[in-house]
Amino acid sequence: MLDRRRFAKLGIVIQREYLQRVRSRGFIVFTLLFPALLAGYITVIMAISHNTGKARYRLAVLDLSGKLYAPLARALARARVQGKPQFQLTPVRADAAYLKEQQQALDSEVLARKYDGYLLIPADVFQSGQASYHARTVTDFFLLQRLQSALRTAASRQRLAAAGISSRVAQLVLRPLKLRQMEITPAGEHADQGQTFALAYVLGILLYMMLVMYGMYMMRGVIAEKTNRTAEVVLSSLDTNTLMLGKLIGLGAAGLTQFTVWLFCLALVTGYGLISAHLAGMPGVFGQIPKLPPLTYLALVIYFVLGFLLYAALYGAIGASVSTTEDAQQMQLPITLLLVAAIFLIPMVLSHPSGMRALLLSEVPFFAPILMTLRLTAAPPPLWQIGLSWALMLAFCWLFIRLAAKIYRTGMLMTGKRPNLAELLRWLRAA
Amino acid sequence: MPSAISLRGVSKTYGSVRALQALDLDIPAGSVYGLLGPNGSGKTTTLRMITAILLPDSGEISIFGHPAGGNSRDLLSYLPEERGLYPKMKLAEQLVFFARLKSVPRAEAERRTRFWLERLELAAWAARRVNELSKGMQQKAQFAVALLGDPKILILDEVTSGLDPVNAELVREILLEQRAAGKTILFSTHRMEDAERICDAICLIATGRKLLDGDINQVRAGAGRKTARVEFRGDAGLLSQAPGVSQADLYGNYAELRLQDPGRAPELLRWLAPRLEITHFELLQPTLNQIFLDTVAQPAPEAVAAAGLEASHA
Repeated sequence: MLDRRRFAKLGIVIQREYLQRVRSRGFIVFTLLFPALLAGYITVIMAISHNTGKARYRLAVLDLSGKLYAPLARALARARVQGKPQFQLTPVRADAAYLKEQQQALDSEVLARKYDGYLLIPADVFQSGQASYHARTVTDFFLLQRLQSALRTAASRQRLAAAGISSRVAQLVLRPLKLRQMEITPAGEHADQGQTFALAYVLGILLYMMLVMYGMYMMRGVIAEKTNRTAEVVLSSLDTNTLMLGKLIGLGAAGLTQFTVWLFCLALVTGYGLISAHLAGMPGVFGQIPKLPPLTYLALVIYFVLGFLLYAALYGAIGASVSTTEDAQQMQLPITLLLVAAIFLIPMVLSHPSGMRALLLSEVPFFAPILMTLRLTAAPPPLWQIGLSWALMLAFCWLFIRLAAKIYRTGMLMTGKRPNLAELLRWLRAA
Repeated sequence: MPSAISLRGVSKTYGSVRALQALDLDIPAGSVYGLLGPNGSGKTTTLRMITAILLPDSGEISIFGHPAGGNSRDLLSYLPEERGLYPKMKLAEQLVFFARLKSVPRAEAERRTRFWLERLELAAWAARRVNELSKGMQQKAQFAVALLGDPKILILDEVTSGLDPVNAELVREILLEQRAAGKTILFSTHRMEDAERICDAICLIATGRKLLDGDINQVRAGAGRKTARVEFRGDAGLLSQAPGVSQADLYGNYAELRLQDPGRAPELLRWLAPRLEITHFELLQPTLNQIFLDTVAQPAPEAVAAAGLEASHA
């Protein structure tokens, strides 16, 4: 099938596709700009998920029980931001007879921003187990969590004291317990505070982005060749299969180039972080980047390449069947849905990376690039599963490239109306 | 002469529309062959199948004895009716790309690109993107693409349409050089004057069927001399009443008479002689245009009905 001349032509198509893409200004700008954008994005995400609250909270405490203010203040005093206490508590002398008036006064002081909010601890707090927090913003989860845990500790301390337990015993009982996550790998155990999860997620999202972006390039390239009628000239020199394959590989190579530049940037930043952290004498966050075996990286690249070929071929088939980008927008919806489904399945696979459901889902060729990437970083699956998914993906790639080529041959000369499904099937049979 | 291109029983259907029905063609090597026909007759479909852009539903196409498609694509090059170049690619780079797609080695492709850019007066635009070129220049660039592969067969669909007279002449000049170099040139047109000037042989098709084909002189001889040119003095009104005359076209001091039967020309002359002063009487060889009109005017009724549908596809 692949004689020498045809092979040479494949190379020429790949070369054109690659050079035209890589030399375009858009490509160069995006390749260099994206790492900066990603860094900004990750910083924002980190800032949100590692929420440590505001630098200072001014809170009034209306303690009708008269017993919780002191232990509460002690529990919160430990929190410091840049050396200053994070919580500034003001006790308000409580009088049950004038509670309503006192609350009204505090309400207006909160509205006037003298306080961020106030705590109301009722007299029967030990029986009812209820207290309340009043503020303009009641969605600051960091603050609510802190207040709740401080109140619980303070109340427990008081209850224990009331039951005649010595403060030494109470101290022992109330000592906090922290659960650390340790990941077991063949190379030994190491602490994991969500970095594996983060890495898997970042890789998954990155892959999703690349698939959609390059899928679009492929689609637009095919549509452009049809509308500017270049296809006719090209196809008088080679067959549609070679043309499609050449476009796919050329674009894929451009994608890999971009990806490599980005990995290089990442390595540079990581290296810089490691060195500066080492010089500063502290391990810092960079010491915590999960160490993956080199073979895993190789497997990741293979999933990337196969996933790319699979989706780009699908996008190519769509480009071949329509004649305007507007028509293509509608036709590409099913593909986007497949990709989005894979993204939605991420949490499920991550919670049981070795379960049956994860296995079945990650073997589906459309999901494999994203879900297998996850499993590889979270809990490496057995080799046969990896091999099987590669085989399935390759088979589907081949199928879709043939499909795209067939649609291309028939669809190329048709302009105007978008074909319906019946017509598409007829094209497939006819070509 | 051996056939450069031969078609045997080639048919093509688009959906329910039959674009081509059992077409047989033999295009002799080294000839300039015109594929003629009205719009929507199946000319472009035929060319697309010879270049293996489309596959026939049935029938066989061979290029110098090899089946069409595969590597026999390198034996021919194609200039489509609707020109197609990558708009954002630089002109010279693009020409080298298309030449290499015809299996021309890179260095040779670059050399030929320089030659043809020079010859077609495009050298100053070599480093420009194609979408910065004027339409006429793009047309010449497309012509260069067809020549770059230096194949044995040139297939040109409406090659001179849209060119100004100077450039059209340049293209015709290059085509004659190519013929002198032994190339086979197949081109389609609906402009009969073009075909008459440069074709050795023609095929006339309408509604997907071959009406006639062969050496251009044989075709013209075979059509019979049905037109008489008469120079005369006297009452021109008499001409249309002459026996055996279906139509009389008057041009001042001469007239062209369309005869129902060329064999009865002497009879006509005998009838005219006593009534008018005849200074010149000649039976003319028909022009391609007349043959075209005569032949296309009387196809089978069902074929006429299909012609309208076909126009949107071919």
